[in-house]
Amino acid sequence: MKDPIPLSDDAAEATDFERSLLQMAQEERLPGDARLEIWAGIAKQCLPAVAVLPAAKLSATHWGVQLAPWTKGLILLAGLSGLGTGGYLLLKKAPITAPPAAVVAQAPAAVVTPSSAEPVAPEAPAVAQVGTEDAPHPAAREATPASSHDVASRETTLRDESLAVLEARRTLRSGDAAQALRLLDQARQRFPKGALGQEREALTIEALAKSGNAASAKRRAQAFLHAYPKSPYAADLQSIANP
Amino acid sequence: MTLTEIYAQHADFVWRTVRRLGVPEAEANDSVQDVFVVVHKSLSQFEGRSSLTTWLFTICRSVARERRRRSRRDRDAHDDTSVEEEVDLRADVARTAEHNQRLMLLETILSGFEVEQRNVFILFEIEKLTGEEISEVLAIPLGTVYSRLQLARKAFKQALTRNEARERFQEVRAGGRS
Repeated sequence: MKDPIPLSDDAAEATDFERSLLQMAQEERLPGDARLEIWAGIAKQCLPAVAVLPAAKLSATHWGVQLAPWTKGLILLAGLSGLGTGGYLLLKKAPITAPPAAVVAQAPAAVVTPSSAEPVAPEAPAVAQVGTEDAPHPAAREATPASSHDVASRETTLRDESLAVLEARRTLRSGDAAQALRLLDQARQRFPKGALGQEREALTIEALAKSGNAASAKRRAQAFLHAYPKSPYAADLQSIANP
Repeated sequence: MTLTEIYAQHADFVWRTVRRLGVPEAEANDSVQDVFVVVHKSLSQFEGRSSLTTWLFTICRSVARERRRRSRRDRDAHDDTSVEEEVDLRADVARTAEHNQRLMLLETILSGFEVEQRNVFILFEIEKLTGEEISEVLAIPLGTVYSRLQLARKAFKQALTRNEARERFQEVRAGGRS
């Protein structure tokens, strides 16, 4: 038996209206804001349970039973930081690019390889800081086991960063673009290599536009789109980049 | 794959699926979160025997079912809305919440489908899974996939025809009033 052609591709079976309706549904995407908020919720729900595991328990049972995947996770983490292209794949597609370490530890084998990554888009000057969270660091090239303290600390940072960016977003949505810019700048200083570079930059561009700094917003929006054409925020920023 | 990778690549799919499975827009974000919390808990048990998409759909279906049940229970506690009114109510909620009129129309149409037909229709016509994949995720024979798809397509076309007729009627009625 052979599959029929989906209606959205079958002009003989479906009317233009039927096809456009289905194509629209196929192209529907999670809004950028919701993407960030949902991920913050997931981080909040999933990470604390692992973060509070006592170090002794981690070493006695968790390490003992799950040493192999744990090690793979650490290697992946190091690889993301050190190899660039794999990290870029995540950065490009994910709102939060740094994998929660404990989650990685539980995952099956790591699958991100340089060969599966998309080509790196040329970095644009105005968003040079966007995504530096995955920038190569010489020390990260050697996969060394992280302590449970490192893991917990990374998770706490991830949560704090999510909250900081969410606070800036809430402020922006409430209409205070100037304060939102200040909060975003604070977040940038506090988490210079944070996981939410794209979110932060997209919100900064939006805040600049809303505070009347159209030229700067436009320049940064164009740079952002150049660097991340497939970002979930791309559609929202198009109107700022090309007013 | 890690949770982050799965979220990055499949959050849109999960969001579309829970919406198309009848989760109201106001609860869609929470439902997506629920799905990924389940993914987080079960990832180590995922053996890759089915594709990731089919595994995610199974989780979406179960989360959406629970959400619908909870919504129904909450509503029952406050009033005695009948099942038939329930569908209309959901359409109204979608109408006020959804900006896109066509997507709203599609949601209304899908909410009127038999559950079995709706699942096949979503997976084949919107997510473009193959018949084999749908057969696997829904645990039904391939022939059943095709027959349900045929019925769903017929229902889809009929619903659109009905909608068009209703719109024309309203236009005529509005014209008669002016």
